[in-house]
Amino acid sequence: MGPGSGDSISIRLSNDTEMVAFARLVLRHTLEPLDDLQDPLFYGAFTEVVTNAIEEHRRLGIAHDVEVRVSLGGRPEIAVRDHGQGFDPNMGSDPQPEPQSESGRGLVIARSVVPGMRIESSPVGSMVFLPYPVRSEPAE
Amino acid sequence: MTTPNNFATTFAVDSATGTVQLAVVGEFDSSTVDAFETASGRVVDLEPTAVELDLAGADLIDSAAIGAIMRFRRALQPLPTTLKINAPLPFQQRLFEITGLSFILDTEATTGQPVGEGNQGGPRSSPES
Repeated sequence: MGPGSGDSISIRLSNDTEMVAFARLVLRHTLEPLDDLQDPLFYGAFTEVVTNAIEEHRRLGIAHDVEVRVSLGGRPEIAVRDHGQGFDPNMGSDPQPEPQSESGRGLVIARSVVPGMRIESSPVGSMVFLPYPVRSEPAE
Repeated sequence: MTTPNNFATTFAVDSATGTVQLAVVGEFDSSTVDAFETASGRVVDLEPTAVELDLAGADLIDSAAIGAIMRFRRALQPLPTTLKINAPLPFQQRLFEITGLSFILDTEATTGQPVGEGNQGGPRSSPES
């Protein structure tokens, strides 16, 4: 885990999907607990986004870490940054992937369960922002 | 570095009925899919009469896990095996709804029919290829 500064915490993840569980653990110890429905949906969405970032780094042989930054001021927000080639920010907007499809469900799930999720993407990397649910606001 | 991974699979065989129950516990995601596929491959090798996949103990499921479940389902299709998927938690129901896969839950196939297209009739009319 990187040094926390002020209202944020930075977690740097090596390009190994097993690190996603570590990141979830850190977030669960840092942020307010969610209820039994919100927790698996939000952290499932977080898992989708971080896994996509790590897999992009692995696919391209990028040595940089994936960064997870948690903004704690006001309503918390998690930002996941990668150094990949970017992707269509509208990807995952189709709510019903083909049942036979082996892929393409990750961002569909994330968009569906995290209202306000947004993506900034360019050819040198992407940032995905996940607003943390407030307890009175169901994840979906 | 040890990661906080609480994933486990267990399977139980009922020799009287030929039923195999495969239960998943913990966080079922891309980092644990390989372990699931090892376990589910063993189940397929047994060619059981009936399979129950119990997800009640899975406290997180991602799209990689859903993909693995679909592959397991597909691997059983050539066999005269019924499959029942137990995913009772609200978040699990929600995930299968979002992905348009609710039809595979808690359904059973009959011999000679694709798994999940038995009594309740899924949205597909032909086997997965």
